[in-house]
Amino acid sequence: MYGMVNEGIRSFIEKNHGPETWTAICKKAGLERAEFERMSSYDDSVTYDLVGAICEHTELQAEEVLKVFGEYWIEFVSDSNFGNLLRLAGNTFVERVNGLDDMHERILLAMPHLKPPSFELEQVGEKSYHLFYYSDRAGLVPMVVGLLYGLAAKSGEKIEVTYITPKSPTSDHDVFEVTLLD
Amino acid sequence: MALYTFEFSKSMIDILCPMFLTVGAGGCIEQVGPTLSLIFTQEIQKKNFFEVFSVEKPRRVNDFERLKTRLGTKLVLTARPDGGDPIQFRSVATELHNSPGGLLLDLSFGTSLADAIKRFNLSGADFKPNDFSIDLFYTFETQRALLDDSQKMTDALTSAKEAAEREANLDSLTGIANRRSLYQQLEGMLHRPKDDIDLALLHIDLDKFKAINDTFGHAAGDEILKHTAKVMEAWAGPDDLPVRIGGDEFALVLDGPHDKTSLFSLAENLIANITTPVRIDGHSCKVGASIGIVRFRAGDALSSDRLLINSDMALYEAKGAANGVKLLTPEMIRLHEERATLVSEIEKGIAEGQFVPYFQPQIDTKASKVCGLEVLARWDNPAKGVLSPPSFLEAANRANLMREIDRQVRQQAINAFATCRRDGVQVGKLSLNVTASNLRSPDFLEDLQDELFLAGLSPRSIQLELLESILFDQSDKFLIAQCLSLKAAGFTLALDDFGTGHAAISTLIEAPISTLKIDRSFVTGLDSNKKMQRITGAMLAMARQMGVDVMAEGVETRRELDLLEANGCRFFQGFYFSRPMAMIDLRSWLELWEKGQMRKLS
Repeated sequence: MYGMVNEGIRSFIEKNHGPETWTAICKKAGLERAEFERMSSYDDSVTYDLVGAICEHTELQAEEVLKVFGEYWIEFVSDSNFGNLLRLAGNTFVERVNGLDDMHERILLAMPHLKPPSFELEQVGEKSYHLFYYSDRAGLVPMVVGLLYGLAAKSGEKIEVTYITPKSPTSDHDVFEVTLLD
Repeated sequence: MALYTFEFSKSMIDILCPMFLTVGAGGCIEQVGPTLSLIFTQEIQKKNFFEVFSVEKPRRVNDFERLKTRLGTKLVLTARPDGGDPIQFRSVATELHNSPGGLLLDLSFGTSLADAIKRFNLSGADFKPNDFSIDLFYTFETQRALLDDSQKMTDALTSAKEAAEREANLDSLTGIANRRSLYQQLEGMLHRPKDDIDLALLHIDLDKFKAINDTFGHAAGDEILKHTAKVMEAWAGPDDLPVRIGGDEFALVLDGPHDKTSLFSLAENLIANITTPVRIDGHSCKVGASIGIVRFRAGDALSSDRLLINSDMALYEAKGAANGVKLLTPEMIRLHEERATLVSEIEKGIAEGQFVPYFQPQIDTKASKVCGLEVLARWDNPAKGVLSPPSFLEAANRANLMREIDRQVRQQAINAFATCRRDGVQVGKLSLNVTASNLRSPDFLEDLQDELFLAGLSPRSIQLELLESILFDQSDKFLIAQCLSLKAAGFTLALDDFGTGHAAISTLIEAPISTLKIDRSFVTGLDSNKKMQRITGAMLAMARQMGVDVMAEGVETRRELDLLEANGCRFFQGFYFSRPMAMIDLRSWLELWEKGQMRKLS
């Protein structure tokens, strides 16, 4: 995982719980350093250990932590240098979800070790869509849910997300149903 | 639908779309642009499009009919042009109007740009002239160099930062953790979720370490500190933290369950190992050690500061324990709190000038006169009355307040004594007690001289009384030198409480002592103890032989006085003559004394 994600987690904890908590979480996660270089690649276990330590510290379930972080991630990216890439995709929730793969592809030019997830949106009703989520990483479904809510909030829309089909040995993706609310 | 109508020559198409390809209605590749021809090592014309390319995105586009439904949208294709690793292309497909059912696809390298240029040895001419991707390639190459440099700088800075952090947490002499690290460790342990595992802090202080420094030099002292650190490392478990707090103070944080028995056993083993003599430059150097222990648990509502104060309390008690080890008890905390209250009262007393001099006359019976006044500190406490030093000495010493009390009492005593002299009252010399820390203070002599000067007195009117124990360490050349400086400045020196300390006879020869004050323990009960009479007699004979005066302290009865006089003693101090008293009372006493002497004479 790129340091950008771990930096996002750091920013999230420091903003909500203060720098002392972040130091305590890093210690709990067995990390010697409490800072990350955004453009450097880190082992995925660092991120998973951080999430584990946050759960232990906050006594929250990993699903809750990841969902809240997913929402925050959109804020974090929007405020970063990559915010322009996110805006490039369009102004609506659907345009932005459709633009996620393009955005990741562009980022890949600068961050060649990135293993980004992939998202495909398929309209199944007037206001409902199926979102296909492809990722080599396990356990991040709740973060995707948070991320979708974050994207919708960013474009001033309201959505409802339901997780309908998990990834399995016969299917390389998870499926969510996303409904646009008035 | 209105159509643009253009006609392009092949060369024009090759310039505008060097990576184009056309697919016929049957799904086979028909024409290929020059750059694509260049990178594919095998001819791809007439091959099925999906034999050569796969469509990665959009997903599930795996035949020609589905491809036709994605016209005008971005396609991500992959192929293996040279049989090697796949190359990713971006593309867009449009209908071919002059070939019904056929498609025109225009490709670019997308994220594989840099790889493709290197792998297929492409040049600028292989791209369309207005293709920005070739510019991107140059940008990437430059950026890569910058990133490499930046990475090198980051690595260097990271290493430097890590080294600095390591150093900031380590004691540079011994290589074990330092005070900063100790605080971090304790805070970390205290902030863990609450549990019932007993953790412990061992607070270790070396005894007689200063003597090693003074006798064998600081390099030897350093070796002792390193030896101590090694012992602690050897006894520390993998999760424990050995620390040098500073000076000759160490700590061992035990991050694991320990019962009282195992803690004492560990502490005693540490002491046994620390106090093992160390061979340094042919000398056998040995220090003592004391250990105060405090137990705590994760989640305790304590600060690391409080833990250290608690362990210091236990350490203080350990210094008086036979095995040198004490575990903190509630009684120790209670005493500490009482002491803290007392210290606050003492500080208030200092601020309000409650510390005053009392004077006890010293009598020369041979000349029948007062030959001196010993100054004794008293605390004139508004609530508790006049208190003598045992009520405040220990607490004031621990709180480093004695220097200020001494100064306050001394200045008042000097001024009162000067007034006596100006009034023509003959009281001999003013006798002031001097501590080892007074002697070690570089300002002491100068301050004393200034105070005397302001009061219009000369050092010749002052006798300084040193405790015998101050001179115990005859190797303390500095103290001996200070005594010589005082003598040279005109002061006379007396050795107080003689017989109770351990001063070597050679020290008496070396130090410029003019009076020995025999301790009261050799005087009280003298009349009924023959053995004591012989010892006291021998001390007086020795002093006579050395040419120094002897003053007997604590004389309380006529019989004691007679016995001492019979052995040649002429200077006395004690309740038989007078208790210590305030100057106003002393003046009355002196008047009575003068009258008494006059009556005797007449």
